[in-house]
Amino acid sequence: MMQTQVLIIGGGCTGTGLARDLALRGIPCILVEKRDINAGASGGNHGLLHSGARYVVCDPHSSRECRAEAELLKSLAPHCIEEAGGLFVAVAGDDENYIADFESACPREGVRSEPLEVREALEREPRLTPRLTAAYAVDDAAVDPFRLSLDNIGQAVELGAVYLNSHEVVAIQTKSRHLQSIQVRNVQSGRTMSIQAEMVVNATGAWAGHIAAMAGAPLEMHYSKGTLLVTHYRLTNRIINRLRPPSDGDILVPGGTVSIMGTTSVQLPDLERVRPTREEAEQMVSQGAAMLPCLQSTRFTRAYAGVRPLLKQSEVADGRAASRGFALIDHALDGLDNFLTVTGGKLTTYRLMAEKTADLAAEKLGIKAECRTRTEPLPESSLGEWTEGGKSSKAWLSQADAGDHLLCECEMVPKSHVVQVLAELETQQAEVPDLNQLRRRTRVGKGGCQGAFCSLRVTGLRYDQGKLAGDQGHRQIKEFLRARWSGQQPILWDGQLAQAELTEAMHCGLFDLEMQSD
Amino acid sequence: MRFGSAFNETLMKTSIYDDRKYTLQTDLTIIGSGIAGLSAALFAVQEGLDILLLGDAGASNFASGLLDVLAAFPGKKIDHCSDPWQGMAVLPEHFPKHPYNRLQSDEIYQAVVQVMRALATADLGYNGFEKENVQVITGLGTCKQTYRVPESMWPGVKAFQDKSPCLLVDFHGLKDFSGPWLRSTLAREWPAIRTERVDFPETRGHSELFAVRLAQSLESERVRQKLAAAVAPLIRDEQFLAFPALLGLYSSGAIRAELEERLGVSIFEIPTMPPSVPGLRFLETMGGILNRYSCFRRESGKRVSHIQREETGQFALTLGEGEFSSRVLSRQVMLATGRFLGGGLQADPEQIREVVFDLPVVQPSPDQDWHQEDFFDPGGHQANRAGLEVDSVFRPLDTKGDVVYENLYAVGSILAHSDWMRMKCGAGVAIASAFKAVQSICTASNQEDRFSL
Repeated sequence: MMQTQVLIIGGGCTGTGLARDLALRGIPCILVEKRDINAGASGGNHGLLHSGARYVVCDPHSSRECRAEAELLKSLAPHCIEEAGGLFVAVAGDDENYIADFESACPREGVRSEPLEVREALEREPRLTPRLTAAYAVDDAAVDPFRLSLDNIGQAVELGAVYLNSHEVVAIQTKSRHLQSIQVRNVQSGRTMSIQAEMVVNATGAWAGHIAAMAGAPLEMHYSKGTLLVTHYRLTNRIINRLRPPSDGDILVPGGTVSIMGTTSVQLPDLERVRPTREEAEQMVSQGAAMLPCLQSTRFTRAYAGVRPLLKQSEVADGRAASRGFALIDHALDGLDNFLTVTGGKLTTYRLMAEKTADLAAEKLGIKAECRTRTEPLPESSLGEWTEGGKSSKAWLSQADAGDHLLCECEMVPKSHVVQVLAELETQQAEVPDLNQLRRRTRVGKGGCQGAFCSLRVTGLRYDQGKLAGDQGHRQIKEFLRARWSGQQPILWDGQLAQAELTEAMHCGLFDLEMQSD
Repeated sequence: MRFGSAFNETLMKTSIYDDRKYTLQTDLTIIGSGIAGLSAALFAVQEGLDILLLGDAGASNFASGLLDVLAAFPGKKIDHCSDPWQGMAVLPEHFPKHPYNRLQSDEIYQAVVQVMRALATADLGYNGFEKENVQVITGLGTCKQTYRVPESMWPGVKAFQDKSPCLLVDFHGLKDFSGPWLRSTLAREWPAIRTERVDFPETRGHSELFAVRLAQSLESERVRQKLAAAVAPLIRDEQFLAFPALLGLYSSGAIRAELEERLGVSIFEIPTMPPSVPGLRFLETMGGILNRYSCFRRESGKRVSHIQREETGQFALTLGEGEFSSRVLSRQVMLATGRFLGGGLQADPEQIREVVFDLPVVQPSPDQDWHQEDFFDPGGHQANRAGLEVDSVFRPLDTKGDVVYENLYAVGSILAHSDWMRMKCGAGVAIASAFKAVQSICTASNQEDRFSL
């Protein structure tokens, strides 16, 4: 049994941000996450730090929140952010009224937007279609959500917070208006234990309704799946937004060495199947090609999907039209005095969500402590050191250590970085870290081969180190390739189809892994 | 996405080209130099046909060097078949359209044996059982079933069967191979295997080592001597010594024999991840054998940029482009261009196409998924069964089921209805289809000769 002041459920951006916020206020907390850091929507988005321009027409409140938070993060967590800048572009046939609304709304909401001549826009981003009719430069930026969350939890742990990976909440006991104890199960070992906390915060994103239901507090959610595509190479320097009401295939965000194409909005009845589909991928490519014709012949290495957690506040048919503002719910109204839910919101406003949640939790606990995340820079942690595309390779090249082999040749990840990340994971958990955990903390498995080669080299290294035994390696590789496959399957044509054939030729054709037990 | 095949359907009036000579006239042009293309070339030159072999190894650069014939039936669950010939007997029932069903199993056996014999004349022996697949241990510690293994792996088959004491030696810096992985995975099954890691001779200061590079360096006697000296003190009572597959590239048989003599143990190789040395040996050795024949020509650097048929039905091929292009007149053309990785098939989001002639490709219908949701789905993926439909002698068919051209053939992995990765039938299908197609070409040209007499 463990005891703490605040128990946070969910290791996405909000949960990890909250852990840091509480830790900085001196409030002890435990964070439990059933899978891994950013395994849900926090890792399943395009990594956009909104300037506010996207919402300036339809949701001025969100727009203002975004603008203010983005400015804060740029100064407090610059290492997680690439100030790439953005363009909003319209192409022939796009709604003129929307363009006019956008132009007038930006100055009104204080969002910087600079009108560009089409020629200028094409000079800045030559891959844009020459059929542009309007272009505005804005202050959008790219943010690495994995780095952000790993750094947040990194500092929280340093300040005494406890982080439990792979711990799923299986039951919640309530007694006289209180959540009395929370049963968690280690999904790897199967062991269960209970945690007692003065305050419980449900920060499980799309799963908030499930957790609330366990506590007996009804919370109706609806789910909007957003699918994104990753290109093999970075296509643009800046974030490219389509200047029209939000719709499919209207944004391209650089992510280090690649570009990320977004997004779809598909209503899901439940969270059983959160997979990107081939239809969505094809749809997005054809929509996006109106802005960037090169998308038609671009090699995509994978697709992924996240679920937007939207509260059922009104009868809105399309998930996108619902408010993106976050919800902070005090379940005292449901008869539970020590239970809060924070959900919805955006990556850009994660810090604000954490701040407001911590404010409320502290107030309810009767603790007077000011928020410090608004003023204190986010320290770089070694946990998130190698998530950024291109960083590992630069470090490897400059260190020039002949003995430090590249285990991932696509993304140039050397052995030393793999060893470092796995060793740190070992200090955090009793179980042997796996390839999927490594992937979330490095670029391993993210390049063109999607893990076909590096999975073997890393596994070989783990046996050399004596960290794996028996058929653990086969199981890890199968699990890893399956996870990679869910993102491959929707985009398998052209070059990536040939790549997938090579993966199967190796792992099934030669090594017969399909015949090994899971 | 771009798509343009090299083929122009309009018949070409022979006279147009009267003043522009062909660089070469040949009986058969084979496009593709993988296992299928090389085997077809071998069968053809053995029959005395003038042939031109085009293309580089393509996907075969990733070939393992193992010779699969048939070892599994994918489906709701995977059925193993330890005797490929027995498997073939029930194949028509389970996979009625599989390319093997166009041949007698006798013919398939003969074809495989013919290739093995040729390889043996060039110091690349293969070994196996008549009526049973071989169990070979891979670098991952999995036990793979295949029909024939290079002789360099054969002692390992025996050692694994008897679970004999064995020392496995691998190398610092060879990141593609881990002896401890194999040992630990097999610990329960084969406890008598032990591992040691040594420095590969003359590699100090090199950061990464690659199997192909090390294999080349073992062609030097000095390096072999040093390797033997490094390994000798590590051998205890083991009669078997294993290495990752890198014991020489061109004279592997002699190299292994020499090391065995120096060390007094039986030495075998373990298949590694690609690019694999035994795979390259196969390609190189086949190329060497073919070069012995005066009727054999090879052009690897140039792509087929244009193909048209003359009124006589012969194919006029343009190789390369611009001033370095050359023109070939060929009685027959054989596609051995492989699948997606090899470049014979190409896909855009809507459909799968054949690259050279834009032949109709049998493929999943628009409402069917190309791939299963589970990468390891025991049934395999639909896209891997897409390919060309052929007649009984491996001539591509059009959508109506008619032969497209009586002198155009297709062999190897481009054929439909054969998931080579899951059925473990890649080399077998390549060799058998090449065999049958060449046989048909010979029969046809014999008949022509009779008429001209």
